[in-house]
Amino acid sequence: MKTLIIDDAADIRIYLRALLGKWGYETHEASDGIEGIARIKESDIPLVVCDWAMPGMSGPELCRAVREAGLPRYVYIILLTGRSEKADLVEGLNAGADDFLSKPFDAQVLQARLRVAERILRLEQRLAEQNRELRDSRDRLEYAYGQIQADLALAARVQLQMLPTSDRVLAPLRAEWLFLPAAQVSGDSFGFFELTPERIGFFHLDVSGHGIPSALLSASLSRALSPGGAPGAEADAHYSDPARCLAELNRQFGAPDTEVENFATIAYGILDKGTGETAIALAGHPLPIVLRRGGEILQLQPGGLPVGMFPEVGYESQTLQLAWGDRLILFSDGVTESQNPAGEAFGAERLTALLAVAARTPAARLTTVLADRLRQWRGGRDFEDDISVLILERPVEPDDWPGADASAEVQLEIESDPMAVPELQTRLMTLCAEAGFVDLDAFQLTCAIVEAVNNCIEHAYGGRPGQPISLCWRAAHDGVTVEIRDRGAPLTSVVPETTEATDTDALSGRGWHIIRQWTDGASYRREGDENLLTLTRRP
Amino acid sequence: MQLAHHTQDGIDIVQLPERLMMADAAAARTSLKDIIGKGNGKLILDLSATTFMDSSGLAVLVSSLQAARKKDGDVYLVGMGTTVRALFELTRLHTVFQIFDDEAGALKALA
Repeated sequence: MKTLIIDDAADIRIYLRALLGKWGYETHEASDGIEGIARIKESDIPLVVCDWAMPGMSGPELCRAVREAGLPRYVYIILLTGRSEKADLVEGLNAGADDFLSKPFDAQVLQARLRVAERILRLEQRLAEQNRELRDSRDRLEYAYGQIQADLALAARVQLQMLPTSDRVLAPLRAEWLFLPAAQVSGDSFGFFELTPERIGFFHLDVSGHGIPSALLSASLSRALSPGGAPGAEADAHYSDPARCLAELNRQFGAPDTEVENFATIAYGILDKGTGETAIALAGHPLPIVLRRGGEILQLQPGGLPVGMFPEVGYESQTLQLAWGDRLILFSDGVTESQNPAGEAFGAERLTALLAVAARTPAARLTTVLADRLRQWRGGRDFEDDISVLILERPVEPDDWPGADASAEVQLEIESDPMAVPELQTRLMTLCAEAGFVDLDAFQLTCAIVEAVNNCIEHAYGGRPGQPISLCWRAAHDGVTVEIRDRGAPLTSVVPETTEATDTDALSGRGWHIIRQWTDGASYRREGDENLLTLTRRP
Repeated sequence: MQLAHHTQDGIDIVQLPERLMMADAAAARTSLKDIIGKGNGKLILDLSATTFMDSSGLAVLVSSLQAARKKDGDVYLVGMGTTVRALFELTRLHTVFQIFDDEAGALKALA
């Protein structure tokens, strides 16, 4: 072992060099503290024998310097001291010395002390080595973990690629979907395929558990549920009966006698593109929802047990009809079981309520709305379970939507009394809102109608109360038409050419100005003993 | 019609109701003429609660302006919402009346 002897007295250095050399130590020397600390820093000498009293840097000062140097190895320091006061010893220890030898020193004692030093240094070396090994081990683990993460990310991508990329195969039907795995790989899967030119098959499944085992089973089931290669008569027979398909699948994947490892809830169905006739079989799956064009909700009947639970399970197909504008919504239980921070589940009721008001929302937007609502429900926390939704739709041309061709017609009757008009104004604002007019548009249209009604009261009826005024409100997608009828005197100053604002009574030019400016059309006709004023406004 | 009314620095400040239509026109006109007659002819009309007005309502405001001007006073309008504002602009009354965003501005101008 290498040692460093630091003493300003040359004879001591020579003496120590001889002793240590005899005992087998490799000796180095320094004649003062400053040289000593330099030698320690630039070498790997672990053992130092140092004099206490030295000019320049004292022994304790050297100790302090070594401890503060932050060296990568431990340096063991024995101080040679002529002092034996307790205070001095304490000072020395506090300064960082490991041991003392009082001068004049006994050679045997010195040797014994040096052996102690060696023992301690070897201990330190062993520790350092163990640390190195631990660090290596940790590095290897980190690397392995990184590999696993990379593999998972790849697996997630593969899984995503297995999902449908477009719904072209369904045309003229449309499909929209939402896929939010909780971890990287998911137990949820869904898909659709062309079975025959007229019929498409579709499925949605959810494998219990998380992670790779579920994802593997999910992939396996997905493949089993889609006919591979050219669909021939055999494939047709097998796949076109949803109940039989699930039963067969269950037989293949059912656990023999072992404990249930993983099972899957599945919805599998066949849809006729031309007629909208759908046959669907359920295996423990959350009951799919049919959202009718008019907003009614139909929930399907419960089906059989999940696939993979028991060897012999019976399944039944249920049939339904998708009309134009209807949607079939399949979803995994990650949707309904999503918990908010208070631990409350989102639930089927909330889902159906959300869907009910979304009857007119395009399916693509609907998935976004659903995703946002669920994230909101979670309060910004990650999803605990996979979320997947598949929406199949028999789409409808925008013009065919209800409310586009069919107009809303409302008949309003009031008496020729100014006191009746405020309530009419309120009713009109509501009708405007229903017709899609808001804020200024609604205000302007309502103003125009109110002015027209005032005109009937004031001029057609000459202020006579109790006379009938009827309004027919018709709202269509191209705007609103209001027909105002009264049985009063013919309106001679009807739709005047000049519409200058004057400051006399109501129903002077100001009133007509409002009617002219705030409608897209104002026309007058006398029908028998009735005045008919027709106002129109486009959206 | 009872209109919420208080006086400040000799200026009458009146809150107009949610609706000023043909049904309220006559009563509102009388009340305002009354207030102007009893006061200095300096009037601030607060429309911040008013969401609907028809041409009769406008006529009421115009008649109050005429009455105020006869006493060398004026009528300033305060807190007009966007819809009522649109009505004023359509009938060009925004060039006839002084319109302020808040009461403080109107008070300073009228004083």
